[in-house]
Amino acid sequence: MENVIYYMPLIMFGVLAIVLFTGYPVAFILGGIALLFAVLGDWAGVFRLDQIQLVPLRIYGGTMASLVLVAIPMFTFMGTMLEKSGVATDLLEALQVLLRKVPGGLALSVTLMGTIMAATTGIIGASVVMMTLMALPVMMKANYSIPLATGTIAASGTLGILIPPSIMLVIMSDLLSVPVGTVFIAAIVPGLLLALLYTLYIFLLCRWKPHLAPPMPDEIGPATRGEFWRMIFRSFLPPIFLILAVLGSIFAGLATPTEASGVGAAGSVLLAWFNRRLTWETFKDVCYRSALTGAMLFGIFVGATAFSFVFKSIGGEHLIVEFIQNSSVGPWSILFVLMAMVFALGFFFDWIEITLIVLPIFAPIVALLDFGGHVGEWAGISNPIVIWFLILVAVNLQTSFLTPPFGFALFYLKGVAPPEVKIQMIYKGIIPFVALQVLGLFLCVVFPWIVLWLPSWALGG
Amino acid sequence: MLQASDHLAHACTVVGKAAAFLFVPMMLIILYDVFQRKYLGYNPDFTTTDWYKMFTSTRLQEMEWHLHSVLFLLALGYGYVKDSHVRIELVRDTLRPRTRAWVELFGALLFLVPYCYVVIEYGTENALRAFNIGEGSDALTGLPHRFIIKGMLPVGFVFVALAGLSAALKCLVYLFGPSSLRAASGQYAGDHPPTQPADA
Amino acid sequence: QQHWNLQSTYAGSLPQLGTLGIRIADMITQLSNGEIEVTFQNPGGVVPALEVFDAVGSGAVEAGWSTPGYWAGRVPALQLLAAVPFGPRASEYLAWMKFGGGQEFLEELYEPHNIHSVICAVIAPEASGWFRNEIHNTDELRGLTMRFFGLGAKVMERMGVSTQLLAGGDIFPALELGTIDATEFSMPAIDLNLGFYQVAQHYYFPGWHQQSTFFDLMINLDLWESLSEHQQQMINTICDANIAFGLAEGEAIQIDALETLENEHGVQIHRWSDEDLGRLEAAWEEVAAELAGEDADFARVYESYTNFRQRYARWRDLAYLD
Ligand code: NA
Ligand code: NA
Repeated sequence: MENVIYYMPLIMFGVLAIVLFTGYPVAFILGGIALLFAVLGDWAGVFRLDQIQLVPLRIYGGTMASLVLVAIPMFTFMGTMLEKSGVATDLLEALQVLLRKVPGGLALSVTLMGTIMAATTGIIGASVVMMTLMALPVMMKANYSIPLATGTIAASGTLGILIPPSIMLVIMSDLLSVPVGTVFIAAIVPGLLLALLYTLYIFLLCRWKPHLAPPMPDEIGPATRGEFWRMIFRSFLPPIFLILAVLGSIFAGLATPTEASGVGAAGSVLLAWFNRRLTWETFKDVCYRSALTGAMLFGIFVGATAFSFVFKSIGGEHLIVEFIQNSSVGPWSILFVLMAMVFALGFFFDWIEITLIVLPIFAPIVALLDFGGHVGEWAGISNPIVIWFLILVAVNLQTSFLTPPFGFALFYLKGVAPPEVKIQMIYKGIIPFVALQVLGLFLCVVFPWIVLWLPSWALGG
Repeated sequence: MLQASDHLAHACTVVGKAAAFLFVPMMLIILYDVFQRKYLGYNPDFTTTDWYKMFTSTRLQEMEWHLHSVLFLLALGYGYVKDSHVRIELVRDTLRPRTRAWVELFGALLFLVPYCYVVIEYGTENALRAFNIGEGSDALTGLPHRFIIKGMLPVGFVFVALAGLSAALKCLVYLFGPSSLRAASGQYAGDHPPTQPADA
Repeated sequence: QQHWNLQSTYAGSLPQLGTLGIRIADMITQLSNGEIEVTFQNPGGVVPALEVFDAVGSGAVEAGWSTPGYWAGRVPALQLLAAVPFGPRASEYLAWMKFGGGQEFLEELYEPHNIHSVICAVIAPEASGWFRNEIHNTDELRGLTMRFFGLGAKVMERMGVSTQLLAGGDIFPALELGTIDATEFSMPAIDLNLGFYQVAQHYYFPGWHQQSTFFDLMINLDLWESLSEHQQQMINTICDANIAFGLAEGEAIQIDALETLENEHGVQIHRWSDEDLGRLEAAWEEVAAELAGEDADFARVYESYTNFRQRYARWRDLAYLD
């Protein structure tokens, strides 16, 4: 019996995994299971049932009273508006024409778009939803393999937490009391490295198996030079201009990244109007759909906060910490176990809970570990091991947004994808990208300069 | 019973759709805040007006998350009615329609309703506490009356619960009602729930 | 054997703001021989920072580590028991808190919310803020956008500053890219770690808005009353010890931090002129009068505080060299 109580958090995982497959909405399953185990925990004496009243406080303080999350509905609105007004379709079809000679050209432009989006927001939900809305229907119309299309979108969309700005990096820096600026710069090269790995993979795969990403037949598309340039001016430049306006408003110091999402949303309305595609019906439809998408995302957020709270309270945090401490000796083994654990936790939790469990306890331990000069000394960085470790966790957490069965980015994608896109296709499609991310993580472990060179160069004087 | 279910669903839809238009003020407030901060804030003639004192940046920024919270909370129930919440349909696709209706019935009654109860019960307590002490923004320069936004949490979950009841009623009719009502009540026994419905 | 969560409003990694809270958790656990096992929780660990008040009051969380000023939206008068613009240095502030009526106000104001509060640290002066550009006098504050919070923010708004809230993740990029012109944060030892010098080069002193700041251990009132007298005494003593420890540490750790900021990171350090401080103080007095008019408790506490300071002034002028 004692053992059952000790391992109750694991049982909670198990029950969640099983119940998820009944097909009931994820958001409510999370909340329901939280409640079930709160009652069980109370009965077993590891939880006080009155603590359940903290759930609304967590929802209010963590999800509602959060200005940074405003970027999600704004980017959702922008994506929906661009899709419904046909602007996105025009853009991607123009891209397709431009890149018709390149294998997997459309997928490659999605990766590029993901990287650019990453520089405007640090919220995964925002970029994944927006890219899915804009790119997925076009890729499906072009007969791309659905797993390849969804994998590309989900993986590129999650680059946003590595490439600054990123709320995740800010909170991690706060927890470790290291300069955010250093961390931001340190995350750039690993983020671009992942984008590069995706690009290479897509290019080689589509060259090797062209049927996964059928090239555009030559007879489609503009026939004359004049038509070609008209397409560029009508379909290609305006949305590019909008994306640059969002980026520009941030870099010109006009708007914070959160506010830039609002600029983008308003810009998308203007753009639809400019293209003479803005009707009252379209506008209403975009509002309704964006609200539904927002409800879908926040339903999961809110359910997840209840789930992780009960999980931690019935001894889950303790269990994890004890497991890591007991199963590792020596610096490399501690690092490996920690990374494996972060990876595994990512199956069920969002990054904020994982960082809260893992970072405060283990970062000080890692900082004192002797990697025998592996990390080295870097001018301008006073605690290179901590920065290196933080970025490793960040890259790792990026992966866990994508790992089945419980990858948040996959849910966001699923939530706005056309109905014929099944979760199993999304699962299948993400596997190669997760493998690429593990490769990226491995490279950052083996070559710490990937993380530390840029900040040292920028800050070392 | 089916009618009651439809009424509940309709109520959730109306509220959710109304909330969806909050996108407009959210966008306008963000644009105005950006504009005021960069261009108007330097003009002493403007910064001494009551308008400026009413719409300070801190207040506008708080208003942004207030509106956002209201929007997504009121849309949660609408989302369930339109079945736009994420499901893992890996196994579900292989189940018989009757089994799916059973799953939905159990899910709504055993998971959703108790979960809503907790959020409504303690969310109300939280809002009342804020009301009784006249809680305002923790930033002195922010918005007063925190009880309103805190109260939106239980309100939103009331609509989630109503949407859950509506689903449960439909499933009951589907499972136990006359076969003539099968088609009208089979929403949650369907094959693949379209996550983005054709008619939002 | 009891198990308590100590929910902090500051990350444990922050010097003083967090570390002193961790120290309290450890001390209670040790000195009670494990009778009360206290776990320090980072913000969000059990509840987010701003919900600590309600969580402790309801008893769902046993204890909180924060500053009374955090609850400005709930109990405005508590701000006077945390830090007052143009307020006294730690010794005088402590004198009022412990022997001039402050502690009684503290208990009285928290009591209706079912919280018992023990003052458990007082920290050194904060800096006045990080500015992207040099400010030659307070007239140049007009039109600036600055992240600022609390009583000081009210003063700043009177100086023509547009105070900003900003999302947590936005502050750093916003300052870097000039979306805002300045931000208030904390003291050199803390600001150094957080790297504000990377995006703003002008560091202003003195922190007129927070000369010294009280931090408190909040305990659910029912729980506090259920403790044995021995346990209550133990907690009071730990807090008194923590006050002395924190005060000494807080003064000591600024030295190196300031040197590093100035010499290694090329930060330009400025001090407001006496005229500027005079203007700011005049603005504060207007704000204080306004707040006292709005809230009776605020008025009562402010009166006690100003009376004490007026009477203390004679002693201060006679006894101290500066
Ligand atoms: Na980003
Ligand atoms: Na995952």
